[in-house]
Amino acid sequence: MPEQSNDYRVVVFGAGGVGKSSLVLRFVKGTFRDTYIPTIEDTYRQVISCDKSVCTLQITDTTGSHQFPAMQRLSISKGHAFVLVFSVTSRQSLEELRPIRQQILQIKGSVESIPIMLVGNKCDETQREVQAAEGQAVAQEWKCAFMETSAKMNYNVKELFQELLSLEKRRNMSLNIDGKRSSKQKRTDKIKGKCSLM
Amino acid sequence: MKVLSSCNAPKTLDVSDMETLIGCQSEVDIKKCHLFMPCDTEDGLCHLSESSKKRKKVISWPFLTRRNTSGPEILGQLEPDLKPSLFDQPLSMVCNKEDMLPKPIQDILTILFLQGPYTEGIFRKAANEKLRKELKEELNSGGNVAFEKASVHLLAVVFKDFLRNIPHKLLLSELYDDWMTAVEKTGHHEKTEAIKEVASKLPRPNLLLLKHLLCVLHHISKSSEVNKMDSSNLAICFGPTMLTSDYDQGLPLAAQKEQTDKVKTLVEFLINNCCDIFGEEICLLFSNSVDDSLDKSEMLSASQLHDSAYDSTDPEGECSSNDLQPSNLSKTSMAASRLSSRELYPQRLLEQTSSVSSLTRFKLSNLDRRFSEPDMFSSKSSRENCVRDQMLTNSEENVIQQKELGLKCQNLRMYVMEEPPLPGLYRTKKPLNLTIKASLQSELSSGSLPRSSSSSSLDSLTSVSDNSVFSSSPLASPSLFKNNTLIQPQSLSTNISEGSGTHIGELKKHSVSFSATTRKKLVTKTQSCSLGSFQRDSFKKESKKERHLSCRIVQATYGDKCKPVTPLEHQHRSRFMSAEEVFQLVDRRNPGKPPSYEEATKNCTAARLPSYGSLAVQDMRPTTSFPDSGPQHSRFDKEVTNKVYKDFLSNRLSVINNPKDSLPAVDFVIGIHPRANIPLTPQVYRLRTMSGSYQKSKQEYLMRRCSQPAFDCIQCAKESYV
Repeated sequence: MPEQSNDYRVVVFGAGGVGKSSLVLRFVKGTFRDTYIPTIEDTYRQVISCDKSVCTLQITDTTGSHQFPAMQRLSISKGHAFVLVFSVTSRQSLEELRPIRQQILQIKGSVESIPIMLVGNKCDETQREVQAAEGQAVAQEWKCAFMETSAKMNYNVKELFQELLSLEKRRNMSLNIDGKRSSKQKRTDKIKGKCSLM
Repeated sequence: MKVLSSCNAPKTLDVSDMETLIGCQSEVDIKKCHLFMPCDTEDGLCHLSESSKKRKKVISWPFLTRRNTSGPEILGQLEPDLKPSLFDQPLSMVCNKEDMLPKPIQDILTILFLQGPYTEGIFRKAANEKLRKELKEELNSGGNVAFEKASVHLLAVVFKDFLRNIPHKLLLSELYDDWMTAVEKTGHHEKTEAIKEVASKLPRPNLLLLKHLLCVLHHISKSSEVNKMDSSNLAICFGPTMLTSDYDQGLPLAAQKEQTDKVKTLVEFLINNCCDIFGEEICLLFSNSVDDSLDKSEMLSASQLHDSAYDSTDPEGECSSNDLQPSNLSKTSMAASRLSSRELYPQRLLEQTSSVSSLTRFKLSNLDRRFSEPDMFSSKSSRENCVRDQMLTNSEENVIQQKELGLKCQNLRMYVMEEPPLPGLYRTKKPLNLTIKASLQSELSSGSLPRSSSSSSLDSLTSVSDNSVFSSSPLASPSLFKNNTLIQPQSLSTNISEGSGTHIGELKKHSVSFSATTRKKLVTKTQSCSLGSFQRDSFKKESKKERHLSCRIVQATYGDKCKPVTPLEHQHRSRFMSAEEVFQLVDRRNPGKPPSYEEATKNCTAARLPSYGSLAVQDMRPTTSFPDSGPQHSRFDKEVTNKVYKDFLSNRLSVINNPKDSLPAVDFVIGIHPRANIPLTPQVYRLRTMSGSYQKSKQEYLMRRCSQPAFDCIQCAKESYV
């Protein structure tokens, strides 16, 4: 895997309508819109700190509505870290992630060193189909981290990406650039299970 | 009901018996399928038959699941598919007929057309990957897939998969640049023209599929407030499956995304302006393929309701679902039809088993929307009558066609499988006279005009009483019933496919609503039940023979039949011609070895016809007199708006020689002068034949089951009413 330049690419996968774009937009722009617009593919960039310097966090918001093996493969091969999003209101959306995870495994060879977050979005919804424990179990099976988020309520969104970066062992990355947003750091307490480092 | 049916099933039919019988049939049927398939070049024939087959399957599905787990396999066995593979093939390969989409694709599109608008995130949301693969496998292996089981999303995903796997994509990657140039034109008109030009470069199958797809998408996008999928969203989800550039793969992500954006713009434009580009008729694509939609709608209802709600092969239910087709034409009609169908189901549910009641929940949510148009029933009773009559007349052809094409094998089977539970029902409802009275009253009250009311009541009477009468009398045949049931749905489909389009669709709608009313009065139950039970018997015992017989008979009567000159009649005639041709073809192809029975029938046809008539006179009386003369006349009077139909009627009238005057005469005439009653005769004959054979085998059983008193009462009621 070519470690090229300063970019650190995160790819967000998930079935259609689980809230990938909402998560990304919430993280990048801090907004939430209750729209229903499928994504073709969007990429957002953000500057983060990395190894005592700065680099660009590039978040690719993929489409969940149609599988394009070619595009998916491209995204995977270029991605450094992956966010697998499902909706807690749809067990199906969790099942959808299996083939994607399989493909990541296949393309990357091993997922051991690759930061992967399993994310149960829409955790503010009351009509759950997937309990947090189930998500956790799947994450354990997949050897990845798990977190529940709500883009709508802005719950655990920042933490999600912070956690993802912290999983990257080859670089030391943080969303914070030299303590500029140190206050945000406190939010990481919300993270279930693992604690973020700095 | 379940209990009852289980009790009665042994009497009427041994399960293992049935299975073996089915097996035999299936073998024969397969042969037939092969024989007949190639002959269906006649316009619409293939379509019709396919759809009817489908419909049967739908109907029987609940039974299959409940009673016979091996059902699906048998089905697959029965239907050898001519196309081995569906996915990853060039469109020209899968579309063997020039103007026909592959049937599974057509079916899927029809379901999507019907359900898509009410499904949130249609084409966006994912479906179960495993199920998708299974469905794809099934489709690829050529088996006949039970689409009614599948969720809409699954079908949508599979369809997208199909599109994606078309080599060079639907819009042809070779034309990518052309498309892009066209879509970059400024000005609506220029763009439209340019796109038209590019579209004209598409091969015919691609264009055909594109039109159908755009029709569906356009239809879905019109309900975007419900499904949240406006044309833009649909374009996002569909664009990349429809068109990619040749040099797609090597491009970086950003460039690919740009391409995708452009394609999305194109597809969005196509969806929004499909009518400008391909003409208004594009929106009616799915109203032409009524049959399919019928099937679909039925599937919907069937799948939603599940089992027992759908026990009976009930003609009205089918009618109502048929209405969904015309619905494309007008929203109101759709609402009405839905309404009627909805009404039927819940009612029946209540009447029937408690086991089903839980399933009603599915329905109820939908009900609200559909009940928006409350009563179209009573006001239109006259029209309904017309429809009914038409159905009767058409029915013969339909049945015959279906059978001839060899596609019916499945239908027959379905009937066989599905019927067993019904006898019990029938029994429970034994006070036949009561039900009939109820129907009478209801009819009378519902009909605002004396004429219409009388005719409608007559119709219903005939249908109901026919059941009872014929079932009770040894001579009379259960097959009668079968015919009625079979006929009505089929005739509907025929009508529409014949292209009389809107008018007939309307008529149908009315008929449906009418049936709904009747059902409300509790008549339905009996009717359907008795129908089912008898159907089963007759089918089981006679299905093979009867098939041949009916075909032959029609052929024989054909000469007499096609005097009329109107377009409608003309179409009918072509139908018959085609049927004849089919047989001739078969004979030619298989000169040495036609089925023995068939041959025998053929030889005997001439001799048999008269005998049928004579035998039938008494039994026939109710059937012929009521549906044919009374209702028809009234219909004729009332039906002023529908020109096509009027023509049709007048033709028939001329053929029949003023039915009003000869009302009593007509009853008996049938046997003596088959020509006088042309529209009905073939059916009657067939009935006779079936009844005869049935009688031999089942006479005792029938006697046991059907009480003679009830029969008498019914007849009396009928006559007195007349």
